[in-house]
Order: sequence, then C-alpha cells, then structure tokens
Amino acid sequence: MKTFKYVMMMTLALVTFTAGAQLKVGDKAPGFKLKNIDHQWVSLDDYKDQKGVIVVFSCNHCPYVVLYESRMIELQKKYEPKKFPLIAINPNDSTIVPADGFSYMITNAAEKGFNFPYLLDDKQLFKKFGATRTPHVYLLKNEGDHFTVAYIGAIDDNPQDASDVKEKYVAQAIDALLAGQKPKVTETRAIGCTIKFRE
Amino acid sequence: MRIILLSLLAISISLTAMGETREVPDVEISQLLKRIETPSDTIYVVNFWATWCLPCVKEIPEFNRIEKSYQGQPVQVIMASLDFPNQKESRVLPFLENHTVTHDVILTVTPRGGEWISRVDNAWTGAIPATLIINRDRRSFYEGEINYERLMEMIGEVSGE
Repeated sequence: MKTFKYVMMMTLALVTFTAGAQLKVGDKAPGFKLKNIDHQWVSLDDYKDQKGVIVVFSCNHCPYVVLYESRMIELQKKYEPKKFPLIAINPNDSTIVPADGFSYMITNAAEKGFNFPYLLDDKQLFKKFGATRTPHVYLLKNEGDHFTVAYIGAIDDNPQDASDVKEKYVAQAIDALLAGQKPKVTETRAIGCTIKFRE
Repeated sequence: MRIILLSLLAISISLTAMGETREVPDVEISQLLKRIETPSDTIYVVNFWATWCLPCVKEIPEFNRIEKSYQGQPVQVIMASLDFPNQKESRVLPFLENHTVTHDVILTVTPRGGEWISRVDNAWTGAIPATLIINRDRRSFYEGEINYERLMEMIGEVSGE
C-alpha cells in the first residue's frame, strides 16, 4: 500500500510537472508585466481592448530569429491595425549570452526598426508558456476576461527564404480568427535556438 | 571486418591531419532516418547541431570522446549539421578546419514545414542542440546541451545493458 501511495504521488508530481511545463492550444495564457526597451512596463492586461496578441519569444543573437525579424515587422504592420499586435519577448540570460543583454535589445531594435514592444523576460515567463526556443510564437485570442492560446509554433514554413514561403502559419491563423473561424493549423515545429537560462 | 574499419578510420584521420578537405555529404532527413532505424548491431548517436549554435559548438568535445570509449565496438556517431545548404562552403567547411570534430559530419537537408522534427522524435520541439541515440527498436532522445556522462547513460539505455 505504501508503495502504491508512493507511485501515485510520483505520478501526480509528474503530471503536474508536465502540465505546468507546456501550454497547449486552448489553454488560458498566463499574464505578465515586463520591461520594454523604452523602459516602460508592458503587461498582457494592456491588451484587453485587442482581439488577440502575437507573442514571439525572441532574442538578438539567434540566426533563426534574425531571419524572421523583418517578417515580424511585417506582421505588426499588417495585423496591429486589425487588433492583433505583436509583442517580442527576450527570455535569454545575458550572463550566458551577452549579446542578448537589455542594452543590446535597445540597439538591435533601433537598427532593425522594430515597430513592436521588445520585452526583457527577467522572470522566466517563458517557462509558464513552455517556450523552448527562439523564435517560438504563441498566438493569443482575447476571450473577454482572459486570453487563450490559439496557435503555437513557427511564423511560417520557410525560415531561410521569405520569398519562398508556402504556408504563413501565423497570418493564416489570425485571418481565420478574424473571420470567426478556428485556425486550420494550430501547432507547428521549427528549428530554433535553445533558450539560455540558469535554473 | 573490424580491422578494415579501423584502418579506414585511421586513413580518414590521417587524411584530415594532412589538411584534406572534409567530405560533408548532403543527406535528406528521410535517408538519415532510414539509415539509423534499419535494425542492426550498431548503436547510432545522432547529434543535431549548427555552426551558429553556441551550446552545440560547446558540446562537440563531449561527442569527440565517444569514439575513444567505444573503439572497436559498433557505435557510430553522426554529427548532423542543420546549417543552411547554401552555407556549406562559406560556414561549415571553414568551421571544420578550425574545430576538431572527430566523427562523420553530414549536412541535413530538411523538408519545409517542420513535420520532420516530430518524425525524428516526438519530444523534440525543434531547439538545438538535440541528440538521438538508436539501437534497433530502442531509442533515447535529449533536447539541449549534453555532456559525456549523459551520453554514456543514453548509450547504456539503448544497448540494454
């Protein structure tokens, strides 16, 4: 009986761990309040009057992120007016990757002309989302009093060549939501850089 | 057979030492999976890495140690680069001239869309480095930076020791 109890406890612990580790499509999105590159605070609550939010876990140094920076700017241009603005969040610890430090976020955003907030995740928010890499997109849908996850994955199907994209996953998911439909593709995987953090 | 293999290895090492350019074949992910999933006595260790990936580059010496530990035993290490195909000449080959990478390096050619990532292992979110170890129907997968001790554990797991 003791063994049984032990096994049950371990199973529960394992299940809890797994549930906490990975946000799924349809789950309620965790709130956040993080520092933006303009030294102001940005929280998910600030977006209550939007239809949704494109959250991109991002950074400065990762070549896959760099390939997508201009496409993030395009997404913001196209979907911010449609009430689906983009927020980039850098979860990397600058004591591991100096190039991902806050001051470099500011210069990178200025150089590339970011038209969206770029937040420093000093609270390991990425763990609540279950993000594992950069870039890693979570498309959130406003449900009135909270946001749910509508899509998780890549921006599109071709990191290397923006001119040869066949599936614009994020754009297609937003278009579906705007039309009152469910996105056809709700989850994709893509190669990216691991998130660099200390436990 | 083992002697032939060892001498081939010796030749390839000496060729590398002589400064011959490394062969880095393009291998489609489906071909790679076919190669490692065909049941045999060999334990395959596949490391997905890229020249631009800092933790990947850091962990290469951990992989370099495997060959010494398993000399003469059927363990094959494949360093599967995920650098872009058009960067073989400009990045991958120069990297191999400046870094010691003991084992076979291939350039992994991947189809678009990312479905192939879960085909490699369902637990893989796509972050690199990632390591897959296969022996017959036993597999062990790890996403993130790895060390030699963990590699030995994983090889132990799939070899059924």
